[in-house]
Amino acid sequence: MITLSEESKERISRIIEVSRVAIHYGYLPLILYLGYTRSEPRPYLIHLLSPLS
Amino acid sequence: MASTSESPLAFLSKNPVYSGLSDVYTSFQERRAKLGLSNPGTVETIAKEVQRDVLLTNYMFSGLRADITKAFSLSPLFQVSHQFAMGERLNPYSFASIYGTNRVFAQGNIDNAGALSTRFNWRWGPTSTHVTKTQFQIGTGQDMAQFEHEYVGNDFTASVKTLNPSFLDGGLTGIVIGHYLQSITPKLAVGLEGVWQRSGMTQGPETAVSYVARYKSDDWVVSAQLQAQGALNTSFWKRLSEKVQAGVDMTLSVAPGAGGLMAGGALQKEGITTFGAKYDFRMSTFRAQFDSKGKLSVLLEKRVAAPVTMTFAADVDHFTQQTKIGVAISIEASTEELQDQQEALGPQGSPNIPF
Repeated sequence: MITLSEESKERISRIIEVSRVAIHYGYLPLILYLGYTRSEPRPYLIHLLSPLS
Repeated sequence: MASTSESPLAFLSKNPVYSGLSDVYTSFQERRAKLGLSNPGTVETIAKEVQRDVLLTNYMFSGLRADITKAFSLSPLFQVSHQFAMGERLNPYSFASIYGTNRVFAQGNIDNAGALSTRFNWRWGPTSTHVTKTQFQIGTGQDMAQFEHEYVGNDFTASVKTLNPSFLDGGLTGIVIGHYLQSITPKLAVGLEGVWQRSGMTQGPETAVSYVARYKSDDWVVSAQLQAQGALNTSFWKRLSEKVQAGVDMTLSVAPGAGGLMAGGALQKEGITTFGAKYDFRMSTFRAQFDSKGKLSVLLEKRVAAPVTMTFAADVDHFTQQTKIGVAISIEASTEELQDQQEALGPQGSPNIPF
């Protein structure tokens, strides 16, 4: 089996933690950005976020 | 020996063993193609006609719910939705958005407590049959990561899935699931599912294999899944007329009693059978089901106006005297340009999204 040193274990845990936070806060904005820039015609930003418009 | 014009590795493909094997393989593939088998779907969806279409267990809810879905574009598919709800096991607010093209399908859903669930599917090429899917759940207390690779062949589907794989404990932990479903005749498909599971290095790994079969005729489908723990799940679906479908789903499990087999505990037999029917009308869909535990459920989806759908759900458990009622309204808002776009694109124009 693969044995990891304590140092690399710690590094991997840090990477996982950082990517967890990045996905948590960045994933939905990423989808909205992709959809906003690529849809034709471009929607209004207010329509994108507000349920009442 | 190889002449100077050939590459130095040409002997690998020029020797009799290789060409013999290659001939056998090619003729096997030709014969297989001549059978004209179709793709059987995936192991997880062998009973989809009953469990996803006819039975309403997946659609059941209680309380009040309102959904607003706004579609902004069809190609690429882009929509956002807001959901407001009151009731048990329903979050007061959640926001979801979907983006899909021929190669990418991305979906995210976040609720008012900050729990995010994501799906990201990636097709390796515009018409490739390889699809990699990832799923994350973050902020729910039990974070989950899932990676899946699926290969959809002409007459089979194979996939490998891992849940929370980790090497940090000094070895591989997590869950690995392999699926394979193969069409044998144009109507019959058989497959198996293997599960490998290790929750920690202090425990040994556990494995389980289950077998599945699915027979699909013109207007009826029967499927069976035999699980390793001794549980059997069978389903039968039939289209009774153009607008009516009916299905039966039966689960039987034989599990060791509380004392376990070694303690001499009797085998505990449990089973549940569900009968269901689905009626499709022009502006509404009605589902009803009754199960052997005395639970009667009905669900009516009615399109009140073009963008507005009302859903009524009711559930009565005759043995425990419990009832549940749910009412939902969903509104699909789309702009006029989008409707024009939809008409211009037609049914062929929508992208083939790797869901």
